[in-house]
Amino acid sequence: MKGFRRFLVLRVVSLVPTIFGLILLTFFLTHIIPGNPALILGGPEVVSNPAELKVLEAELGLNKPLYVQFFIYLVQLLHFNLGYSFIQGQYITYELGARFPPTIELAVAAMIIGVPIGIYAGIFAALRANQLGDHAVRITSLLGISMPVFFLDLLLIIAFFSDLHLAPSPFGQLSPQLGYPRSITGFVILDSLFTGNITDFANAIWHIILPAVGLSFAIIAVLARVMRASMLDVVNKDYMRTAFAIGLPRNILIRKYALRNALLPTITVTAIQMGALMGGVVLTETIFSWPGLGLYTYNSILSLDYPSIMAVAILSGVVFVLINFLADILYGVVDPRVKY
Amino acid sequence: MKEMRRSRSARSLSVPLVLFLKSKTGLASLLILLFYIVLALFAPHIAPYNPLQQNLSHSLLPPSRSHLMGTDDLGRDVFSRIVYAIRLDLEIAFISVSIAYLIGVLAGIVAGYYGKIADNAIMRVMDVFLAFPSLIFAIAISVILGTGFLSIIVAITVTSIPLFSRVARSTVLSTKNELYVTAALSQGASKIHILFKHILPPSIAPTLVLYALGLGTAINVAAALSFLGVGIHPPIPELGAMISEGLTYVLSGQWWISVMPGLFIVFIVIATNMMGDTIREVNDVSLRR
Amino acid sequence: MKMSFEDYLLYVDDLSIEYTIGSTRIYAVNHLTFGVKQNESIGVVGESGCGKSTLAMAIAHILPPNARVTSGRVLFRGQVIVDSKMGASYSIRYSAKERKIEDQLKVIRWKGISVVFQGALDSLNPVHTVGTQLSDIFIYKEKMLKGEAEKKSKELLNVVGLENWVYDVYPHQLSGGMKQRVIIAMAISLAPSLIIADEPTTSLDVITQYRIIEELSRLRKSHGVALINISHDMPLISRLSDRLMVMYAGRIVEKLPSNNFLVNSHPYTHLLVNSIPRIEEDLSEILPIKGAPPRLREKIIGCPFYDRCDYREEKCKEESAVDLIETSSNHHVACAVLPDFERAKVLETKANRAGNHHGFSSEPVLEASNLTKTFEKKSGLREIKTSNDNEIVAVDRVNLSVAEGEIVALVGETGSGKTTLSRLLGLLETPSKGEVRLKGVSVELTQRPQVKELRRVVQTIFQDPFQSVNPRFSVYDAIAEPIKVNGKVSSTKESNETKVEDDNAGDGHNSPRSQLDNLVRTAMNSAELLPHEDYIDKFPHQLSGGQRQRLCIARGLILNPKILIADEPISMLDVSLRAGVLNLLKKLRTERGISILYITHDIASARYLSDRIYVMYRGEIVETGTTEELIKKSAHPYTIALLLASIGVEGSIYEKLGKRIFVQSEESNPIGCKFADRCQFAKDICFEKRPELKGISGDHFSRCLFSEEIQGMKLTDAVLKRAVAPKN
Repeated sequence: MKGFRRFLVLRVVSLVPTIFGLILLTFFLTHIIPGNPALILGGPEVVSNPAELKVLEAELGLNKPLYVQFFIYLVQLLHFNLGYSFIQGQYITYELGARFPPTIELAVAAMIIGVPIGIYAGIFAALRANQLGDHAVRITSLLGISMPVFFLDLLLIIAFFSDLHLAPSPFGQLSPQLGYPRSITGFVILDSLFTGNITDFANAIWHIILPAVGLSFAIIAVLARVMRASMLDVVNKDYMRTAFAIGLPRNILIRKYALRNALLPTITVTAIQMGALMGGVVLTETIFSWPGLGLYTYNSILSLDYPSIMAVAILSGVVFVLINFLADILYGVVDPRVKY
Repeated sequence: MKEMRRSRSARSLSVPLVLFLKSKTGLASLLILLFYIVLALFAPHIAPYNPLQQNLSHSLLPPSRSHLMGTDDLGRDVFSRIVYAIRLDLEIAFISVSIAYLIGVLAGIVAGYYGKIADNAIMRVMDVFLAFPSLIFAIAISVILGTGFLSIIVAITVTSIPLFSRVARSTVLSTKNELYVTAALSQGASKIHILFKHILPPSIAPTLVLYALGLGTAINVAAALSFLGVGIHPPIPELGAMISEGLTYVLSGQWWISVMPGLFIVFIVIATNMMGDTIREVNDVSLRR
Repeated sequence: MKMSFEDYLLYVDDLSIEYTIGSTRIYAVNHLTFGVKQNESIGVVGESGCGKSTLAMAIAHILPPNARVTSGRVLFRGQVIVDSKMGASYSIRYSAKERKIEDQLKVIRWKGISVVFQGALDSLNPVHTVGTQLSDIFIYKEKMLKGEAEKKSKELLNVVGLENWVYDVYPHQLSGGMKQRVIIAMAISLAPSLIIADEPTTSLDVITQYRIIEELSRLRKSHGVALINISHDMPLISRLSDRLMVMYAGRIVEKLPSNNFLVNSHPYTHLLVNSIPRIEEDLSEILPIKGAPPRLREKIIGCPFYDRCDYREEKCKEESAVDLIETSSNHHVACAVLPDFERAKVLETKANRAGNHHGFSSEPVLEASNLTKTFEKKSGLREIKTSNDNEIVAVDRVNLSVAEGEIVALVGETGSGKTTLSRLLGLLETPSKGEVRLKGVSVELTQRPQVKELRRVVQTIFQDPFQSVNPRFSVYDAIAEPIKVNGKVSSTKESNETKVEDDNAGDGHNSPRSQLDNLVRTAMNSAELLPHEDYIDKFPHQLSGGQRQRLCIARGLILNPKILIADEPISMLDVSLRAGVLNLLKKLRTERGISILYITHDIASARYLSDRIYVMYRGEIVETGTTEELIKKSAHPYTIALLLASIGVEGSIYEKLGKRIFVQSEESNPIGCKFADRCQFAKDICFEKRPELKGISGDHFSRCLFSEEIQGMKLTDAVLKRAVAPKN
């Protein structure tokens, strides 16, 4: 246990240089590459307005030496201040806070759909290696890793909204005629459940299915591929031969003896997929007009709101680093061979 | 005495190549890729219309004999636009992935082979690059650099370099510990000799796998960036931008404007993924034979 | 054959098994027939690829899915458990057919037949504790409750000499010997009537090997089970078996009683027995077996040993040549010729031929003085120091010398530091303290030009011939590499040093390329890779282990070194190929006067090959002396333990050295003698003071405070004599 605590502390310490590097890189992108950082940080309107330009330059210290600027940037970030958007006329952190829940909702829904199906499909294929079921899984997952998520979303909309009329119109989290439930957590599904608003709840579920399915397809495909390979590898291991020789019941063989080993690589892969998922969220939210971080990013791109885009970049970077950190810890807990 | 030196080491390339061509997926992926390359190279001869030529009287026509894949809202021929878009996307993919390959593999080899300070310095930087979700990083870069062909290439290159260096480094590290490298050292071989004769050859296949996969990813990213409006701008035809342009018409039934270019993305990416998988398999098999 | 299967517990009837790998077929087991009675122990002996493991796994019905039963069947207590319909493979697929087969096997698996797998492999599941894996057997096979299963499991662990804490740990936390005992505990858990032990001691240290064999033989007696022991080591396995079956190329070539396996009739058995140096014999010559075992890609008609046999006749090619003939009761041979071996010829002792080999001068070629290598222990994550005692002393103040033309053996177990020492001497590692001298010149690894010159003096042959040649290099390229990297053609004695200027081909006789060709050919001659044309264009994966090791030797010889460091050169080779490589090393010394440092875990082969022996234990040289002196008058308890384990007379180690010898040393760097905690003779002073090497007589030194007393006890004498006795 003592070893584990040390392992945790060391891992946390090792996060520091990566996050520092991340901040340095965004600072580099916003303050050094462009000829005039004020243009990036304030936008063209600000630059042409001397009064606002002064405010900006004072706040960011743009006339001070670079290392001072970096220090100011760092201090701001430590106060969760991700900058000021002149285009929106408000601090970015405030707006991001409101945009977070819908995105989390969508991402979690995609994981809930994607991870179990992906893992199950991988096992299914491995147990039927080179048979019909296996080929079906392999072709589907090849398609899944090759299909751009925004194109898949489009096909889903054509099929389930335009043709079959099974899905709601792809605009937002709820049908327009319904009011949002009172905000408790900020998550529409949870809030409607807590306030006992069953109509909203059902409607929210109905709306989230299509975008979540679109996002989860890539996760399913990648996990199925990894899980299939890892399961086939494990089945041929000597310890599985031992278990076969003992004649343990088949479901114990698979669930207890093979699966635990085979799942190990999927931990890391799932974490990496979360990164891809964050990219996918931007595209999916754009298509489904989902009022989360992704749509916020898209709108910021359209209005050339650079500070907002950089804020999203740095936020998603930190989240991604933390996810990988958690996966690392989880791996250490699940695999007894990892030494602390 | 002369016949003693027949056809040595000729095997090292020909066997995997034959195996690759013999496998169904390998051949299929190669044919698809060749088809796209032909489309790209001979775009002016293949495209029946000028991709930029607007013809409002022919707008939103469904696929027919005269317009193979229909026309868009401005009456431009979708197929002709796709052919030119492929030309552009392949160009972006090949250029950016090749640059990333050169820089990434070189950095990975230096990190893995020389170790210590070089390794730490290089891999720390790569860690930071990998800490961003790649599409979001690419968006940030192209936003800062301003949209367009060059900034897409920079964005894709920068986001793929770390992948190449990781793979190159890990193969170098594992080869470095091979007993035959120790054996060569004990015979007095120089570091350079060991690098070129022992370390580099085994790292070709894994990085080539990544190159193939990288082409697909690059096309995907280029399309996504243009789709979001940070890549190639209209009216220049690009597959992702075309999907974006047709988006509003999908709900009103004119699906072909978006779906046709989408299908072309899907097929080329499937081909590159299949190609990567096959190279990996062939490499595993040919070493075991 | 008139055996009737009712008399047997297990009856294998005309069994044939093929594997399909891609488009090639491998005929692994061909028409085997034999029976095992209740409580009987049978040893199956053969080299890798002879089909012995396939046979074992077929009986346990756990062959991989690409195996097919093409003829015959296996009956267990009269019930068919393997035939062409049921197959002999396991499968994880969910088909109705496979379920039906598994249902039929339910009572056979583990309750009837269990398996002792090789512990060194990944035979235990890495993510479950030993306890889970043991108690699961009771829970799922016997429907026991958890608490009861735990109690039973702990009892079992105690039976195989393990303590209760083993129950809660993961397999990777155990040593090889302990893992092997866990596997034995699993095998006896459901009291089966037949246990198959598949190479149960392979890759364990000799002393641990000895203990496992004792353990198995004790359990066999106390539990009354039948045993099928699979091994490549005939002397070892004969200790555990009543009868032996010798397998070759998927067939049984001889069945004989194990207590007298030296009296054999098949040429293959004969060669196999006489190609292994045995510690109790002072042989001047072991018999090499030419060629390599067939790869079984096609069916062999007639005797499978035909190609390699010195006694072959035309009739051996007839189909009936493979039938087993009864020569006496309990003895069957599949040989059409039945030659009369003159064993006397082989038994010429080294003593009788003394002075026959090349005398060696006292001039040392290789010397090590005070050589020390310490490593920092790495903690799980990066290299972070946690405390000060984190140094591992791999090589501890070693003094060693090899004279010109001398063969010196360095004997030690896994972890003794012998491989690190070989890397220090082979100029592959910088010592922490002390120095290496080559031909009197002190080596400084930072002096590149000097080191480059000196590398031509010392060459290393590595243990693993499968890893030490680049798979992308042809035989020619591999052998020529040392010349190419040195940029010079330094030659055998007759020609002078010449520069290789360029690699472009010249047809003249003295062109660099033809000189290179000449050198390669000379090296191949010396390493007996003949005829050249059979090898020159081949790639490593097309060669047998023995051929690869010869390739490594040729590569080592091409720079014309003064000394070869051979680090376990035969331990990865098939048994029938080992003698050839050992004899080749011997010949190199006799014919070319090359010095050899032979590093090994096998004291018997050290006795066969060497003039002097160093025994290494946990980084230190504990005893050294001329070979005969050290073996007959050993003065260090560790050397005695090695000798007794190698002789392997039942009970002898317990009797002479007590139980403590099997203890695992805890402290990594004790103040006192490193061997004290395992030594029955240790007194208080042994734990307080680290002994130095002290002279006993002439060249004989021992690192024991009580060397004379130990030597005086003559602990090995009686056992050595007892071991030799039955033959004479």
